[in-house]
Amino acid sequence: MSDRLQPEDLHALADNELPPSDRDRVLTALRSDRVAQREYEGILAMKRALQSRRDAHTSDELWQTCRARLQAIESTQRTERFVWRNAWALSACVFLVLVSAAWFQRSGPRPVRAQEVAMLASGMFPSGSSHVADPNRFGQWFEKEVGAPKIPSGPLVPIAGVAGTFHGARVARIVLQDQRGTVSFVVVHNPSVAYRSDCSQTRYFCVNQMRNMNAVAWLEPGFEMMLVGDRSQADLLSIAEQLRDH
Amino acid sequence: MLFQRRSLREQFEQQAEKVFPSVLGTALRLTRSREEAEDLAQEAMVRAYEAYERFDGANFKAWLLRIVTNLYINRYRQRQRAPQLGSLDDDHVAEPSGDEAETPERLVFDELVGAEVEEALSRVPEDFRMAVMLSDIEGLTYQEIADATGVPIGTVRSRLARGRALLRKHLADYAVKSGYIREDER
Repeated sequence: MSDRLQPEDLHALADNELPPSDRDRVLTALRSDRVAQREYEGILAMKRALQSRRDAHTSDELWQTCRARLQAIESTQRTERFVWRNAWALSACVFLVLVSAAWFQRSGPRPVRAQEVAMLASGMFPSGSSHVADPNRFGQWFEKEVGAPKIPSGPLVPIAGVAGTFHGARVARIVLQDQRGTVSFVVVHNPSVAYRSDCSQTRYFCVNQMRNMNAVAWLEPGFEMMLVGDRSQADLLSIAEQLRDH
Repeated sequence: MLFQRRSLREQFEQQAEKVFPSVLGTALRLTRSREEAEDLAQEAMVRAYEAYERFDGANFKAWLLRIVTNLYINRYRQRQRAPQLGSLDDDHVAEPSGDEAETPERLVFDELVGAEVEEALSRVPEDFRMAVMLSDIEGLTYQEIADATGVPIGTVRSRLARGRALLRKHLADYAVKSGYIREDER
């Protein structure tokens, strides 16, 4: 092969990668160089042999697998994009649902549950209420606040009262006192009270225990009455009968 | 936007399906293992799809083969840790002999079947093999090969010349062994 021709020139010529000026030079040199011509033909023959291998390998099964992966990726990307773009809206929806649920929970009366009666009797509830401490004004206060039957008279004397709302229901708690001490008399203006669901029935009265204290409940038209105190059940039943007869 | 994205995937698949045999073939010739080649081809398709929005639209096949090659270089070749560049001296590459007698080499190469070509190609050291197959099998330009393999065009030119010389030697060995030509004719 002549000095003017380098092997790489022949390869570049076969690959059509020579600039026009070099191409003319190489072609001119090639015409007078038989060794280079043979080399060049060998390169072309090898290129033909290799070109015949183009697209020789294929796998429809693998292509379908690839497609399935691409579809899965697309699906994931769509979900991510949707969530990303609408994150504020989704957050707002969740917030609204929570607020609405809380609002519905708080608004409107609902049955007072048995376990809540203990809280009513404990003196913590009702909250935000009016109260009275003057025994002379007690009857007037009770009728005005609760609209309930009159306070009984006799051995039990009201010494304090508090009234307000509890879960939307009007509630009053009056502390009655006799020689043995005090009992809480709770009046709930809510006939759907759930307290009676888990107690043992004794004629008109329902007897149970709350916070280690005995309790007696009964119904009056439009009211639920409860007595809770650190007394025996028989004692509470006796007081309850007095109040009911009154 | 959802529909736009879907059409993008369909557009990608439409283009990719046409060049998928090249992707798989390149992966097979690089890894020389069916299992690894399928993994490589699949991974390359996923990478290409994820980067499709950044594709400049010039030559999809060259772009995809560049991803296959880069992925192979970055992942599979590091795993193999095998010697990559063979010594040309050790391989006794056939140089033009100066003998002006007509040899049947050109005719022999035309007669060789695919399996023999593939076998001879697989014996060429990897970097040379990569240049030869991207050029002669897949038809990429020198610039595209340089982009795919991350080397300058001058290196591509020299790798092609050396790779073909090695391949020619292996093919000639096969031709002698198969009786196409005699030892003294090579």
